[in-house]
Amino acid sequence: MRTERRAPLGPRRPRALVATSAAIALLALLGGTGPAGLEPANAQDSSIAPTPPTITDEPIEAMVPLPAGPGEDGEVHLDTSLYLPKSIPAPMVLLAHGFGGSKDDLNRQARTLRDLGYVVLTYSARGFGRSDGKISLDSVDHEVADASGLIDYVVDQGYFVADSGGGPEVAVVGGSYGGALALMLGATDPRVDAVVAAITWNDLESALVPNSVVPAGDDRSSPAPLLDSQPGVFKEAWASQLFGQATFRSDSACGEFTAELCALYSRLVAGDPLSPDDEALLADSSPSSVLDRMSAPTLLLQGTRDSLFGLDQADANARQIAAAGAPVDVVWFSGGHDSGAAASSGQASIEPTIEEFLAKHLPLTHSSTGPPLSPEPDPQFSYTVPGGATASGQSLAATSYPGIDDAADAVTSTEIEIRSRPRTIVNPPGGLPAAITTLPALGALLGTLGSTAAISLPQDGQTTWGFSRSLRESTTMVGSPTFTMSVARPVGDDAVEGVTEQPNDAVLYAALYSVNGDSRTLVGGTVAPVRVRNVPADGSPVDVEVALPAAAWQFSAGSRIELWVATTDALYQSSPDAAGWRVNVRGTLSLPTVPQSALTESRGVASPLALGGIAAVLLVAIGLGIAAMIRGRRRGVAAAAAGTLPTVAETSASAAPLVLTGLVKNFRNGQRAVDELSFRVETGQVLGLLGPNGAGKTTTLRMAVGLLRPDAGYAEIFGERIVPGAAVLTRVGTFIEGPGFLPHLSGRRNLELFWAASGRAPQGSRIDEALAIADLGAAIERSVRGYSQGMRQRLAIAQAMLGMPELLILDEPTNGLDPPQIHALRGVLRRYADSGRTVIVSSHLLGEVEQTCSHVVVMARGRLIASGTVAELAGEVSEVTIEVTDAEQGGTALEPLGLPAIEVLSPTSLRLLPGETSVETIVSALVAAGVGVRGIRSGRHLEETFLELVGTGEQR
Amino acid sequence: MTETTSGTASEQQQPIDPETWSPGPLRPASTAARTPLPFRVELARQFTQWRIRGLLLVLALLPIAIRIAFLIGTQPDDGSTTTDQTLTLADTAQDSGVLFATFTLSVTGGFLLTLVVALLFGDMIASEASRSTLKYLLTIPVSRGRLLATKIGVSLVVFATGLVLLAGVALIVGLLSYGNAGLQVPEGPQLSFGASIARIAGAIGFLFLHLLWAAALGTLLTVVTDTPLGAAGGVVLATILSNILDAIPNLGNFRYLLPTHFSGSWRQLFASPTNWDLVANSVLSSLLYALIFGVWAAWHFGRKDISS
Repeated sequence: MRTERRAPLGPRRPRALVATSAAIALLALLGGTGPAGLEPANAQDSSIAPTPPTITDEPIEAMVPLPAGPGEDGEVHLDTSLYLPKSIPAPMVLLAHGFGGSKDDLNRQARTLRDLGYVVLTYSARGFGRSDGKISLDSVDHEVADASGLIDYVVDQGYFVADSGGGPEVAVVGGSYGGALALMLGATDPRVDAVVAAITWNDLESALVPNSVVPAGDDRSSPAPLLDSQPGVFKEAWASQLFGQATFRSDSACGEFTAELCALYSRLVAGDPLSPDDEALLADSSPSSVLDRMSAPTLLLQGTRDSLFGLDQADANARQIAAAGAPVDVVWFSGGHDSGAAASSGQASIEPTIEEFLAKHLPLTHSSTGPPLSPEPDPQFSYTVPGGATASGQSLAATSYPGIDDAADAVTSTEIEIRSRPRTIVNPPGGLPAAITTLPALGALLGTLGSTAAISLPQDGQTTWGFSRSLRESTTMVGSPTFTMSVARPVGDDAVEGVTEQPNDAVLYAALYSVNGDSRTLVGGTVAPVRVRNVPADGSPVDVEVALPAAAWQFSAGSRIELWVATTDALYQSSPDAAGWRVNVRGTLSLPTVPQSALTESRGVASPLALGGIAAVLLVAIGLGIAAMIRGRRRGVAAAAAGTLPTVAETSASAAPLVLTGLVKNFRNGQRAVDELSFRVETGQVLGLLGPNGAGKTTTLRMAVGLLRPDAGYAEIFGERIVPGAAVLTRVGTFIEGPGFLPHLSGRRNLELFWAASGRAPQGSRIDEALAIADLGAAIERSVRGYSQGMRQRLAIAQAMLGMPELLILDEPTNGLDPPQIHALRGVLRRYADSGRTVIVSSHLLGEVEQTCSHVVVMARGRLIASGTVAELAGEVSEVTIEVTDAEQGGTALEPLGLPAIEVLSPTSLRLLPGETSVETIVSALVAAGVGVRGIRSGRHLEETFLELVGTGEQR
Repeated sequence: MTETTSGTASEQQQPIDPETWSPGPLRPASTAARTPLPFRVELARQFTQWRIRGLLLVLALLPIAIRIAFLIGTQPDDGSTTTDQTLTLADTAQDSGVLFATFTLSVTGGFLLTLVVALLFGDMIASEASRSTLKYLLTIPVSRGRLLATKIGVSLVVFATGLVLLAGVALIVGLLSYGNAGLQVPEGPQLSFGASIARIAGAIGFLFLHLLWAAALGTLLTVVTDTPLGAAGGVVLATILSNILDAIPNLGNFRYLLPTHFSGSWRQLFASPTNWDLVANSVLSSLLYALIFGVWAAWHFGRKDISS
């Protein structure tokens, strides 16, 4: 799209080409990919949560048609989103995005402002997002006119609050590309009441083709005066990156750019100087051309890590706005186009600054949700000094921006002597390899110590340097330091070999380093390009004053300042011609300083809420701990009071070793494992708990020692009711369902640690006796890992017997033992009980119980089937079973004897109670009746009873 | 202790014959106050285990391995393009002993220490259960509260020992290799040696407090499950899950509830000025989770059926 350009308002300069591409580059930074200052705060950086987006009230999306431009046909369509607050009408905020971005980047910020109560309009500028049209780089007739048209669009819908003049209350907020737009709209549209412009430019030409040579007599009363000497040096790395950002989506080499801008960029890249037409084109895209008409209060936010738009651009904006009579606030924050993806807290911190500014100049009528107005006048210039070698970073403020209101508060300077000697430095043919001091947008990522660190020092032979003495006292510099260097053409003996056609202009790059020990930091984060015109051919030197990149910086005491001058820098277009220059940087360095009015150190203080929370949590934890301890102690006291820590003599008289009362346990699947089980074990018994597998024996024993919680009923040991960890369990030794040891330790060590874990004195353990019974021989000193099952079993029994407890509970103790060991164990258990102690043994083997136990409890399916002495359950001793040839006939034959009971067990066996009758009489009667007698057995075998009982249990 | 030991067969130096042995008459039980599962006994039980020794050994050897890696590797001459401060520390790790120690803490602070905590605390009860030793400890008896408290105490001591070991060895290796220059805060001042040591001590303390949430979760899982690996894996899984959720910006404020949300705050100890707000938030978040999980674990363990 071609537009007819009118005479720009600002001064025209030659060589506009460079400026265009630079502008393009700048704009890209503001976009979503660039580290624009308006990026959302990283949540890590702040404990204050951003207001969550309200999902219910979505913005009104619309494509708004606007005229293409003066003298052009057709219209462009801009993609807009209108965010309406709860209460309408309300003041309006127009949000402009960065270069390469779109309205989508502003969604979160728009919602935040909407929630504060503003009507917010975001839109994609021409050539970006879904908007059509060509990019004219914030030209007054196109992008700026578009923005005015968008204010009309909102006003037409009646959402606005009228200001005193009857027009709408409008603020424009933008960063980088959007920042320049905000400035230019504020200056050209009288309806705008407040302007916020972040990391943006004043003059595209000086941003893209800078030259840091200070013209004679330049006014340096402000901290970072903008220099516009031309020709400069093309900032090619930035320009190409930004140009690329606007061309990626099109098959045209120029992408969405207008043909004029594209041609300008092409000429710059080719190394051509800017023509007057080019300068006019760039001026048309520069706030400098319109800012003398600014009347709206303006907030300028400029980053200290910005090799694209330095602090000098904001300085020029501030000067122009102040000259036009509008109030202006300036903030130098830690951030900018070089601050990288890791949003610094500084960048996050500018949003509150913006909101505060809006609240002051665009008050909400229902300001309940707005930030409170500060009663005191805010400082109009604040800046962040990064931490130095000995000091922490701090934020400082002054009541006004120096040098724009009156001469009284102009910057002063501190002079530092720089020592050096003349050296000849060479620009290699093609200008490569070039020193790398910063890279577009990545500056912060490259250095080990952030963007200000030297990434690669210039090559030997391409650089000269000078340095100061160690500083006696710490000095804070605010602004752009200057020094004078002399440049001469090496002639005669000094002439550089290989230089055939020495160019007229010397292109050099000056850098200021702060050196502390081994650490060397590039102050200002970038270099100052210097083009010295027409260096005399006769070798006589030219003195030029050079302004270094502006920064806020603290040189600590003991550090040194170094000045470097090199022939190459990767940020700038390299010069193809080989050249050599004789450079001397000896002289004085002027460090600008400004008067301070206020100082706030940016120390992070923990919020009282968090500290209170920590204290509360600790208190609760301590409280719970004390409560648990008291509960534990009470239980102990209660147990002692109830006589549960009595001597043996008392207990053996008073309380049974184990009493189970109505124990019930259900498994998780609902199956009843133990059902209303009650029995009592008396002192001196060896009780066998007998039952088939799954009868609930182990579950019962686990409940008896407090490992399982009964669903109903309770167990008592020596009169004390069992709860988990009940103290009375000290008098019980247990071996339940398999041994458990630390496998890497020896059997003896296991038992020693086990006893030690009980908290009792080692001499009470009687470990030697227990080990003798286990009879493990030398294996006792080997690790348990290598034990057989039987060995582990015996060790586990020995563990249960440690201290010779009054009650010994053994679950299936003979598993895995061989017959001699089983035999020995029987004897041990019997003698154990004989000593006045009690033993409970569970088994599913009848023979086992019959031979070991004095008493037996039979269980099946969780129920008690029978209990008593082994003899009782085995049947009455007088009962006689007779094997005969014919049981029916035998029964008949015995009827006359009048026996108390006769039972036919099978066709060949009879059971009877002899009563008074002798067995001989019975046998004679049988024989007399012709019934053959094969055998007589008196008493009943336990197995029989058991099977009978279990059978009954199963039928139930 | 009363005369329980006198008159036994062993003291009479006679061989004990299981065929005739008898335990002898009952003696009055001691009424002396008893502290079940004394801390030092549990400590001894744990330190006999190779998994505990191995864990400590790895932490102690890690700084040496890093030092050797620096010896073998050459400095990359182009900085890779990440903004992670760890990388920044890697670049300066060889500038001084304290920076080396800081770097060592920074590379382990993320995941390795979480893993260590997961293993230590996930192991506590579950390993006893899987070895079947838990039921015997509980019937000695050790009350469940006492058992859990002792176990947690021992694990905390082991963890703290590991942390101090890691930082201490790193500091010694660093001081021997790179000298005793102070800590250079990135883009900030160079601290004195004493202040640097204080910062490292602070970082150790912070890491300890910050990982309490994982410790408490491990405690909860170890009483719930009987498999040590399951408990440890659960903690690791929870950490990963929390990190993933934390990476989803749509969650907005809910991410503040994630236990790992503030896990990067330890770096504040090496920044100037330190943002104590982040540190306090992190500690608060960790303590809250530790309290919740810890109480839950104690409640669950107190009423749990021990069936293994």
